[in-house]
Amino acid sequence: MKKILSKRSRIVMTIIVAIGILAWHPILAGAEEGKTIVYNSSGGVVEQVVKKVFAEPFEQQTGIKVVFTAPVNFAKLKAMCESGNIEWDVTEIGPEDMIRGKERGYLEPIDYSIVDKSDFLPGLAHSHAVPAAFYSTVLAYNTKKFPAGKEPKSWADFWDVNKFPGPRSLPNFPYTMEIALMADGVSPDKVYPLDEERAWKSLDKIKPHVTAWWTMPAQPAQLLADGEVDMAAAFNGRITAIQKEGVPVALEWNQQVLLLAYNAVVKGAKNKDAAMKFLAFMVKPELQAEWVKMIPYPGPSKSMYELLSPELAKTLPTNPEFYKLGVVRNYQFWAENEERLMEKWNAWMLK
Amino acid sequence: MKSRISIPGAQEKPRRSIDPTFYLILPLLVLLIFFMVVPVFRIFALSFFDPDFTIKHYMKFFQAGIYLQILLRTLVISLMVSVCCLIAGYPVSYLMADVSPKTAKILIILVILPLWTGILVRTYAWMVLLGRQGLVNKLLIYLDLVAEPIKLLYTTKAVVLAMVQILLPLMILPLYATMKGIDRDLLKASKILGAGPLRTFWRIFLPLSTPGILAGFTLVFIISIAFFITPALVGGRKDIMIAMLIESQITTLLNWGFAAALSLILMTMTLIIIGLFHKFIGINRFVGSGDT
Repeated sequence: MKKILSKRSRIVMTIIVAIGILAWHPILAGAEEGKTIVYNSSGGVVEQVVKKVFAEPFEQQTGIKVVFTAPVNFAKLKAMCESGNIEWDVTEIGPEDMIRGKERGYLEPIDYSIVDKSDFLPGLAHSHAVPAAFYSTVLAYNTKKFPAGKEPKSWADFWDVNKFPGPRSLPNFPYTMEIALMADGVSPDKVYPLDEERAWKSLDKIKPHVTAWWTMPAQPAQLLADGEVDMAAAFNGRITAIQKEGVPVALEWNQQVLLLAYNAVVKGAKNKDAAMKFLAFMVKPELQAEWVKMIPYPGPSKSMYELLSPELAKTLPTNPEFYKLGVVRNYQFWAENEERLMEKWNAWMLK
Repeated sequence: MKSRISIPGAQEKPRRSIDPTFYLILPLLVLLIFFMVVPVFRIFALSFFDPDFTIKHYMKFFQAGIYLQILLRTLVISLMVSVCCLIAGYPVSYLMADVSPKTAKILIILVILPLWTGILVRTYAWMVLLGRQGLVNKLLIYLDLVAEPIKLLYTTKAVVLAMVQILLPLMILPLYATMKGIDRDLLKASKILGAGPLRTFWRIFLPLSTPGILAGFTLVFIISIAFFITPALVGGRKDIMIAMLIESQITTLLNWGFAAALSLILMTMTLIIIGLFHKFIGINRFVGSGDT
């Protein structure tokens, strides 16, 4: 068989491939230790915005370069921590994974002597993670069907099918129990500890009036836009987005359920100190304000609202005015009970 | 497959020679081993080890009641879809096998055409048609047949309708292949012997087309039981199918062990159906060969 490549060109190819691998690998690509941190994000737009708003100014000020990897993956975190080969320093992490990660010892405690938590919204400084982005489940409704003055203002109104007739949509997840409790008269600050009996009873009442139980976050906005339902529990970002497209919908911040994603430092991270510095840098109010101008999911800062236009501020769930009306989901509870309640939920659905 | 006649001692290295056609399937074989066989074994292990050997995931499936209920629901929906596909597909296949080859070609293209559109797109199309403000309801109101929009979407009927539309080609094609292979002279002979058209169909054509019926039916049924996106989007709260359950176990609950057990139960059921089919009819009917 004839050789396809000469010996020299094979050597050149090998070198090119080797350089390619080195350049691609985040750790090898970086310079000396402590001068680079690896940030694992969900990629895409989030990565670009983190790079622009946080990473570039951070490098300018401290000389520490931030290298990005993706995606966020709990299985990979687990594999890293169990093998001792820690590739990430900081990772974006979902709330339930954060609880699991903390319990299994995959996360470093946050050094709050470096990270300033005094500007955080109340009750958010978690021992092993810093809040990164909030979103919220809100009551959204068709404004043609329910014009100003006749609009639903609470989950109790959502449950009131005589005063507010029309098909409805709710999430097909046991989380809906939170909403059911508020509909039954529980105030947001009393939702947890969750009174399960009371929640099921309340859910039974609304069940026949729910046309669509949604499973994907895009669904409720679509259902409202198509006129398929007149009222839905939906994520705020999706509703704001279709509002901008001219769909006649509005949302009610009262009794919103706040959800959040975190940033955490991986246990045994090679550049732990630099990683803490980066987390501290990210929560600065002026940078938080820049972030929220590009991504509609605000971080934990409350003083950033002084830097935002009122138009933007009124679309954000952590606006102090709205924040106090809602409840932050207790992920500790769900990490412990979700599986059991999901089974019950499915059985309830089939009944 | 053709087997070679080997006379002991007559060939120099009879054992080492590999049929050259084997190399043609080698790439596919490697692909299947790495992306099908290996993952299936991983799933198998995942469902039995956590981290020590356990059958708790299977116990949970059979004890909780709800999971058997969902399995039953999956089977009932799949059965409805298969029956509807058969009823809708049989006359079409009959027509295709009966017309001139040129017309048959056009019909085949029309049957295959929807397969080129994604399942998600076709499911969304049904949502547009069946919705409260959808075309069907608008037409019904325009014709004064109903006063208020009727509930079509988010019902079991919508699930069956959308799935039938998606899976119908898979019923028609094996049926057509079988019917094409039926000797038309037998029908003539039946008529010469005095049987009417109905009797001829009932006694001659229908029995001869049975392999096609079973092939189409099995194919549609097997694909139906693993359906996910269509029931999730157009179904009502009771239309939970087992694939949706697997999805929620993987993505929301991170209970991969139970998801693996569910997957294996689903796979075992599929294999049993295929096994039964093969035993009675022969598996090559799936690819539409009329001669066994």
